[in-house]
Amino acid sequence: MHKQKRFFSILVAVLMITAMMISSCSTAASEEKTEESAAVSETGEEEKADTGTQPGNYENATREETVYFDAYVAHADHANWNPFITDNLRDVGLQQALIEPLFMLNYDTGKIDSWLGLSMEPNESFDVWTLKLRPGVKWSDGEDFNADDVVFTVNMFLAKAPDLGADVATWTASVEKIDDLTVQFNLKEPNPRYQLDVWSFKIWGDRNSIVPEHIWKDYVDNPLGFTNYDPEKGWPVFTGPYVLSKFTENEYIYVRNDDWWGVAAGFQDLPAPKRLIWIQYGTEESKAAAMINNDLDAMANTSLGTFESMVAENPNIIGWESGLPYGTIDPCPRYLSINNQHPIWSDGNLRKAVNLAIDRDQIVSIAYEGGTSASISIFPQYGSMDQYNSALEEAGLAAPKTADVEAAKALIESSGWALNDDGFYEKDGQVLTMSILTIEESMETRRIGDVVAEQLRNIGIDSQPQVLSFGAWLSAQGEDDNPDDDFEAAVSFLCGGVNEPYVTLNTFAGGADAVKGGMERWSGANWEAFRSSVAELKNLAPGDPAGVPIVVDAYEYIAEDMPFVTLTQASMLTPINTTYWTNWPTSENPYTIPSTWVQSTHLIIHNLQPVEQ
Amino acid sequence: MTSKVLDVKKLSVAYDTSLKTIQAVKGISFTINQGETLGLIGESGSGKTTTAMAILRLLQKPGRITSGEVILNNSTDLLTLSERELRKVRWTELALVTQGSMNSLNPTMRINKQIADGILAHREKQNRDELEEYIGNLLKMVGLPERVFSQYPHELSGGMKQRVCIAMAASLNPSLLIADEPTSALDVITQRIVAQTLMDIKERLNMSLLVIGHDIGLMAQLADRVAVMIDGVIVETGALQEVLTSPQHLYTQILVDAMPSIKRKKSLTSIDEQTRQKISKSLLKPFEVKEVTQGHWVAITQ
Amino acid sequence: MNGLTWKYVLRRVGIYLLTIFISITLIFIISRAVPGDPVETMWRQLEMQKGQIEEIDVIIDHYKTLFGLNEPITVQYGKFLWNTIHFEFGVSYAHYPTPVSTMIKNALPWTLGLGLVTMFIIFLFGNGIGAIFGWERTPKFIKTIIPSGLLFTSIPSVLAALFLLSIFAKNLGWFPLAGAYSNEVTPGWNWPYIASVIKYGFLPALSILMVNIGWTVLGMRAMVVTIGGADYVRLAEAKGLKPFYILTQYTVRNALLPQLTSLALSMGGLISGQVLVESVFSYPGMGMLIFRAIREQDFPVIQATSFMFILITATSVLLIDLLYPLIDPRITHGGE
Repeated sequence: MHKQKRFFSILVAVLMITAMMISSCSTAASEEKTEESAAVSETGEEEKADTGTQPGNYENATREETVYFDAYVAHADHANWNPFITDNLRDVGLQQALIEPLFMLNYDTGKIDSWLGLSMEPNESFDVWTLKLRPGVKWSDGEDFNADDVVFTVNMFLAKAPDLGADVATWTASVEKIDDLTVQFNLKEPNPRYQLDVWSFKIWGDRNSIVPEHIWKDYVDNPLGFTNYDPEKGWPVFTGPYVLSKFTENEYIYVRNDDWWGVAAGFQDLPAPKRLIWIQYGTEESKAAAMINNDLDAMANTSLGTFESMVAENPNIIGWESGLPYGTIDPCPRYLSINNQHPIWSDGNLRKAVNLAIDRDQIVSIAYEGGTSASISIFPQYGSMDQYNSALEEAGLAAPKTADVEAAKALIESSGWALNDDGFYEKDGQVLTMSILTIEESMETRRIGDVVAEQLRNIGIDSQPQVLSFGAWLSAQGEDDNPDDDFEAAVSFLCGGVNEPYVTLNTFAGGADAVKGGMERWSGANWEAFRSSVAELKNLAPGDPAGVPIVVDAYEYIAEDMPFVTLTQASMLTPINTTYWTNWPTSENPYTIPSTWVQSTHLIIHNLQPVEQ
Repeated sequence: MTSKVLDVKKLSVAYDTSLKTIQAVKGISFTINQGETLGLIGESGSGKTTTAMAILRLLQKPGRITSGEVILNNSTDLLTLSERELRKVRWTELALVTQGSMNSLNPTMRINKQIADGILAHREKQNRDELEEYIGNLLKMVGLPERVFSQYPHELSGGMKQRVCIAMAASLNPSLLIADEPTSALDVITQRIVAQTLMDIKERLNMSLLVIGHDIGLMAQLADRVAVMIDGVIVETGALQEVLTSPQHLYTQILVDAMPSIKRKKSLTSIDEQTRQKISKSLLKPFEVKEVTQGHWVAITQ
Repeated sequence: MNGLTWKYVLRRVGIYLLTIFISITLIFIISRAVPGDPVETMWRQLEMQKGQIEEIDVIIDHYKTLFGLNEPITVQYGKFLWNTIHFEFGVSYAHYPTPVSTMIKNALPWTLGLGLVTMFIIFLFGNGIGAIFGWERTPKFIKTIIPSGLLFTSIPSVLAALFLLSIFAKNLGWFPLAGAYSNEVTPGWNWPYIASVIKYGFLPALSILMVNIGWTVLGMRAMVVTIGGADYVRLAEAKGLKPFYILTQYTVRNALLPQLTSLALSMGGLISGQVLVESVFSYPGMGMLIFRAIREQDFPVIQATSFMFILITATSVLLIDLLYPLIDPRITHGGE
């Protein structure tokens, strides 16, 4: 048996080489083939120019008329199109093609753009909000979209929270119709972020989508049990410029609705693509292959290595940036979480020393191979966050890009630690250690952990990364609120605000209660002061310039205690194929973020232009 | 004049191993006449089974026939036949009952089918009912109950299996039946029954028989003539009675002495190692085969 | 009755049921022994992928209660056991409120279809090629060609899948990269659909086949060589039967049964290989389901798919064990 195994291994090796030769030849062959088929389709195009794909019958639209998106998740139950059941369904086109949001956050300006909603204004105390709807909006079945639908949906949320609309119920006391296009929301307590957090596309999608009353009224008792799918009746019914055509086991197909309300209402022209397909490929390799073969127009997140190999084979593939880091910023920056209640790491000097010992540029170049940038602060560096970040830089509160080893060592020594023979700090017979928890499923955190541990060892902290599964990583940080937990530090991520600092900063306001606040369990006088700054911020509208000095104040308390250490921006590399469609969002044309699984994809679809073949 | 069914002339068989070539059968010659039973006696390793397989051209590698002739029915030399011609001769002219009844039947095929496929291979287009009746008769002839017809080999006893083999071998009424150790691995009573069946069939179908065995008692029951084989050489041939009463070669004498006899009440003796070696050595020297009395040939070392 | 006794059937079924019971218990214990809370883990991971989720703590607590994770462990176990044997796997966490049984019902036909067809082909062709490979009359040049077809035998099926994908789907474009059928056909009993299913299933099936067929071929070859020396084969030759008839009716016929046993034994490997192949080709079967569930930290689905895989494996082994005495006249169980 053993001999046979070896025999086969050798044969495999020989065949692999032959196969590589065949495949390199066949690549050439397939290129020729593409040219041929291009020639064929050119002639085909001429014929089509006469007939064209019939309006309203885009089920068999051509490749040139279709955009293929990467469905990086799949929906489990094809016959269920209830938008409230699962995030996964929304990712495969539901919220990009069918469900339009009331409002959409613009990452670049920080402003809230209107969509189905025209405006949403608070009273002076932020506890009554008035929503004006855009006139002329219609559901895909022709019924009017109006205040009744909004009131109906909100009342359904209030009755069924937290199964659906958990955050609506948290804030909203009641809702009333003023006229057909005006709705008034009465809040339980003031919330300047009510429009943004509850009723807008902010990061991923508006979980609280408005649904048509004339259909959902029959299912109001058990809205989660309603499948919202009946091809005979044209369900699912939403307002988007596309309707569901059909689906296979791994494809979700939407066709353009030429009667879309936006044209008649003078909102926007019809988008150019006649058919949209979200298609699921099994692995990163097959997605990359589909991109290279022009079978896929936009791919969800990929690694830098895969991206570079794709570009090498197909020059039509581009990223957000034309050079390194190629990608754009992900809303969840990476940082080093430190246990402020730990017997050793409760010493602020040590935490500050760690902040100084870390070379963020080195993390970017080694762990990311240049695929991201060092963080200035704990905030994601979107255009809308610039005013805060530059204020922090001016105040000298920005995280240093490179390490100051001497200063770091001095801080440690000021706390009474001395280097031992092994080159590590020691006090009362105890060596200064820092075990850094990283996430097994996230190669990124593991690589960061390796670099950070190395940097800390260089200044005399005996630091080792420790890889844990995501669940173990969470529980090791004392999700059970156990302050005696011996967790020391973890490479962590913070998904906070993308247009203002309040949400992010509020994460650290929970103090020693790890469940309510950050896992850092920060406490003490600086924390108390920090909390009152955050409370002040809470009452300001997002983006209010008055918030800038408050953020600087809050950050001063952070700098004094250093409860956590900022590391890098998370990168999101979303390859785009420009063979059939152009005018994708890029850093030169940043009309929206390039993610095609989030609701802002509506903007991309409206902007796409066919390439002249 | 009796015609020769089989005439083996100077047949030699060698086994090629990686180290050397072993001569298993060294130029032996013998004949079998029409209706006669020849017993080929020898201990295991003497080359008797190899001889049988060589005649049937069923030698397995690394065995090969190095020289000789095997003339069947005074006409065909079996050793020169093409595969196709050989297949035609097999079972119609030359049948086999193998040694070790346990494994000579296909364990996953019903008895009737195993008999039938041999018949069908040689007789075109048989009527199914006739064929079944014919097989039924064959089984009856060897004294097997009707149920055997559709049974599997594992459902039969060793003696029954061997009788199935005999019935199968007789199915096309061949001129010569080679029975290679037909009774080994059977108990004494079954041995007698099987031997008797073989005799009956032979008589009834007027076949010739080549019985191969190490048991001189069995030979005494079956054979008309015997040939004694040792180290790939036939050392003595002659009519059964003559060989038994006046064995000429030393080895034959020992064999005959070893035969248990009711008359002599003698205990079984085996060959002592020294004598055996002496015989082997003498056979390495050139020898001459001489006819001592009519039809009684003995190898005499010069 | 052909060798199959009640005593044997009862004992074999008993072992089968015990296996199922132990596996359910193990699945329960393992899923509870994994560090971290499944609901919390899943939602936090969603947050990491999709950004901040408003009121996430309220949602997590709500679902924990909803899924009965706040109940005593013994009650949870009892319910799990009872529900699992009734094929009630609860609802998916990640695809709430889709019942896990719906997901399995959608996926199972694809996996069984792909698996059974592939296994059938492996058995048919593997044994056919193995028989030719082992047959003494096969021309030498054919015998030298055969091993080149078994090249992939010692590599993991996922590599074979990636290899085929890159050659035939990516470079040559003969086959699709993913999926189970084209979006241009309508599912049902129509030719375009069936042709599409075959086209889409071809590469996944070939990957499983290439990796697994080698052992069947080699097993059959060894059997044919061994049985070729058996007395009954030699007697068949003496009967003047045609060589090919001897090969099929005498040699192969007797070799097939041990081959069936080794097929039953290799079942587990075949299925686990299929899991990876399905995930490479995004084939909508059980393998894809479990692969996705692990990625989504969807515990009920992981539990249910693990259970189904154990059930499929155990059931096929049971079936082969029970069928064996019926096929092979020599085997008698429990009796005699």
